Amino acid sequence: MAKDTPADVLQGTLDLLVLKTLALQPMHGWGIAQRIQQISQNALDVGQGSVYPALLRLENRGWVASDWGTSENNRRAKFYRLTALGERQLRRETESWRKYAQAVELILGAT
Amino acid sequence: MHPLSWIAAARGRLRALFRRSSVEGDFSDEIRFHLEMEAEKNRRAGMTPDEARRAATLSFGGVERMREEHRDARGTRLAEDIAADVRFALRTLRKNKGFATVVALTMMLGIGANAAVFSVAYGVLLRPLPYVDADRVVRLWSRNDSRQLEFFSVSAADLATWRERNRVFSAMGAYERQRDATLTRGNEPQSVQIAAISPDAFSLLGTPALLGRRIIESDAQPGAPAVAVLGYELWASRFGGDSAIIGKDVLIDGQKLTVVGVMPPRFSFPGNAAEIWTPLSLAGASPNRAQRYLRVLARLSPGVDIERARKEMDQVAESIALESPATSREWRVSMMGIPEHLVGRQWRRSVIALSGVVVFVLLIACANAANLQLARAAARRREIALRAALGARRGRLIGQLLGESTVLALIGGTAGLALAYFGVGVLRTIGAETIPRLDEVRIDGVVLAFTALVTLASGFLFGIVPALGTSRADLGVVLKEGGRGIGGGVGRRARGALVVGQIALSLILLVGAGLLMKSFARLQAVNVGFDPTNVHLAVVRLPESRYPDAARLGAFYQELLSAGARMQGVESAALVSSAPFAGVNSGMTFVVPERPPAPGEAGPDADYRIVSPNYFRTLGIGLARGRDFTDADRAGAPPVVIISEQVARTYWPGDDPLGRQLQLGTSESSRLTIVGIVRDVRYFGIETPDVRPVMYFPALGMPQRGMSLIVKTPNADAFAAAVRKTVRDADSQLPVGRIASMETVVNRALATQRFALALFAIFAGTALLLAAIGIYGVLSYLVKQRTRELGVRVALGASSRTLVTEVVAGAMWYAVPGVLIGVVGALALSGLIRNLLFGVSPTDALTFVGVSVLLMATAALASLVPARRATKADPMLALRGE
Repeated sequence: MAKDTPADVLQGTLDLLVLKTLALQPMHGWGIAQRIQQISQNALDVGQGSVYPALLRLENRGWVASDWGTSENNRRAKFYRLTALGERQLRRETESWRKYAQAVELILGAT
Repeated sequence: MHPLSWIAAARGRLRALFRRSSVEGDFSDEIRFHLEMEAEKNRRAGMTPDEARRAATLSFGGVERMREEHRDARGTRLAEDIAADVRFALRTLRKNKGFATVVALTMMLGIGANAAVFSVAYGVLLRPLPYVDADRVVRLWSRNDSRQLEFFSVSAADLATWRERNRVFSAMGAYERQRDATLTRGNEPQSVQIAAISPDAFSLLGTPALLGRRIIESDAQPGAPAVAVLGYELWASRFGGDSAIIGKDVLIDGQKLTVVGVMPPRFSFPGNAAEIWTPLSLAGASPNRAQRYLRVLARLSPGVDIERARKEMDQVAESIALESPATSREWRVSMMGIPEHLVGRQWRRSVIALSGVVVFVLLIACANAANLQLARAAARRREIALRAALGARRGRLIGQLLGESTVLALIGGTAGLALAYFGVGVLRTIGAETIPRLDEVRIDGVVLAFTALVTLASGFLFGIVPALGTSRADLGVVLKEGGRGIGGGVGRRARGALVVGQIALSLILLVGAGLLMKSFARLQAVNVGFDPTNVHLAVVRLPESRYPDAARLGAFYQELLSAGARMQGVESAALVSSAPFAGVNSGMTFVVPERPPAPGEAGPDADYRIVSPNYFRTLGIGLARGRDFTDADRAGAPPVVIISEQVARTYWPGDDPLGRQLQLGTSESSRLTIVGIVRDVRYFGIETPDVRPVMYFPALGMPQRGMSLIVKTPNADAFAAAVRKTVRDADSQLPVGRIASMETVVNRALATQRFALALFAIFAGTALLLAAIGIYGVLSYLVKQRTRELGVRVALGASSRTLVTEVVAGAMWYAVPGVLIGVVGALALSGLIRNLLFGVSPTDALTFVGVSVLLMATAALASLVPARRATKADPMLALRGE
């Protein structure tokens, strides 16, 4: 059985991050993993491979779509992009994440 | 989730499922791309190519685990697992052909029997009738309990009153019994069944005409043009399905009728075998309530159930009885829903009993299959425990074992369907004369769906217990046991319980078969009062148009009789109005002059037959006293009658009626002298407990429109040919009705019982065989487990007799409780076939004891082979097996 990894704990968060990354531009799996690591300044220690099950989950829900295309170095790669449904989902989740973060912040800030 | 998301998800899953390899391939490509990109980045950062690759794989975080996770995320895990299980099962079963064959054959028997019987049950009991809301339609009869007339026809006057006074029916209609008529087309006369039907009976059933129209109100008005509606079968066979028939004339008994419609296939009036329907008008019907000749249908008003209708109609009948006691005292109403009426109570119960029987057979088959699975599972415990240790989840192990049983059930079910197809053919042949609506029995979509359901359910049923038991295997325990694969307490207890259950179920079936066998023997031993050996019968009916009077009727039948007597090899020939088991009954009331009934009382009644001289001799009916009719007993001679012993016993008890008189009707001029007393004859059926009283009148005194020629001759074919020729020579326009041997006719009266017995015997035999296999299987397994112990005992000098006794006694551990439970079950259930039994109580002690002994003997026999094996146990082999 799979052990508890950060990927398990952060599954919902990972989905949100992937959506956010794709909101900027369509991208392949490796690129998404790089972007998340860069932007979070390696604070989120997520196995790069975790991106793929997350992408599949999102695709099954219709939030992202994928196509085979050519990468910047001329290789065959699968590109993911956000769908209209995905954009709406991203908005909704961003909002609820912010509410949640604020709530946690309030509790932690209380003396 | 958003609806669009659902669709996207479903599409993704379907794609993943059906294009599994390409999806996996895509994923591999994607990972490869990722790893290459990462490695390239690492190289640019200054790593060696090898280091770069390793670091890439590390940061990816476990390719295989991700692959699994990815598979889970695809949401097709379950389906993929099932496919894998089925592949695995097929592989395992190919390696165990013997086991697979036995289980598949067992399931074939169980499922095949169920499919065949279900197709009969569905066709006979469940397939919708060709009427609108058939279960709202009821048939009504007059009933007279004191005369034991439960289903008697209804008088037109009663029907009119019923219509007027009831508030439970939305419509009522009536029809007459069908009668023989001659349909002439070109030069070919054909005997057809025709019946007069009131228009409201047509509209009440609601079935639309296939062509043209049904009979409508205006057809039954006085002076309306004569019209007819054809049944589908007659139209298809006789008129070649020609739709131009509408508006044409047909000649029925010399009368021209215009065809206005054709009814669809399968349509008929309940209990009426007519092929042509004509309008029935009750406008000029007799007001006499005692003239009961109509069959009545009614449709229940919305919201009224049959019980309420029954109560109300009994009240109506009571009010009629109060108003006209002379004709209606003691007359009430019987009522039956059309589905029940068409199938018949007896058949309904029989088919239900039969369905119960095949379910038992299926359960026994499942128990057997489960038993075999358990035996095999015990041997596989090591394999399964190892797989569990290597990380297979319990659910997956159970799934794999269930996969095996399902595959086996499917193989068995497919073979069973073939068996059922064959079985339905057999059922149709042997049941053709006895089962109503049998022509509607076939293997169709409904039967296929049922079979599929039964197959999957039984695969689950016989797979789940072994699967649960085996998958619980504890690795430590199993490996400690060494390779011997001792089954452990759970498996053995489960197997023991299965065998006990099998024996109990088999006992119940065998009791059913035994009871039927005994009652069948009783039935065949019943003295019907006549000897059908070599007696043949031909039914002829003369149309009114060309034989209008007694003289012409008499002349024709006299000619037929003398032609019959002249045939080669004939021992004796005679005429009868209605032969035993082969025609309608007729009865009348009479008066014993010594004891005239009180005013308003009806006199005694008896059935009657009109016979020629030699009738009693031809059928071997004994003449107790007095004389037979002679040629002198004709119109104009002193009127005479012969009575059966039952008449003499009932109405002249302790007296000698020979030479006395009995009076028909009210006039003293119609007194007949009793010149003979004959032995009792069963005219109706074998099962009726009482012999009905019968009076015989001389045919020459009162020639009938329809008579049967009966001839005792060893040569059946010559008889049939001679009858046809004689009739053709006498009247080329005349069709010959039924020609049959009396033996066939009598046998047919036993057909229902024979059919039930045959089926019960087949299924009970199958059950016994399966139970024997079950006992054998368990005991061989136990003996095998004890090989070492037994070998040592043989070495120490135990006699083979002791060992055999021990093993056989071991079988009794299962047989005795099985028999006890079975006896209790049989006592509770055998009442269900009470209506199929004759002269045997459903709790017949002899049958119960006999069947119990049979089962114990079978158990002992099944244990003999393993017992003998036990005595041959080789101590060296047993010890070396360590």
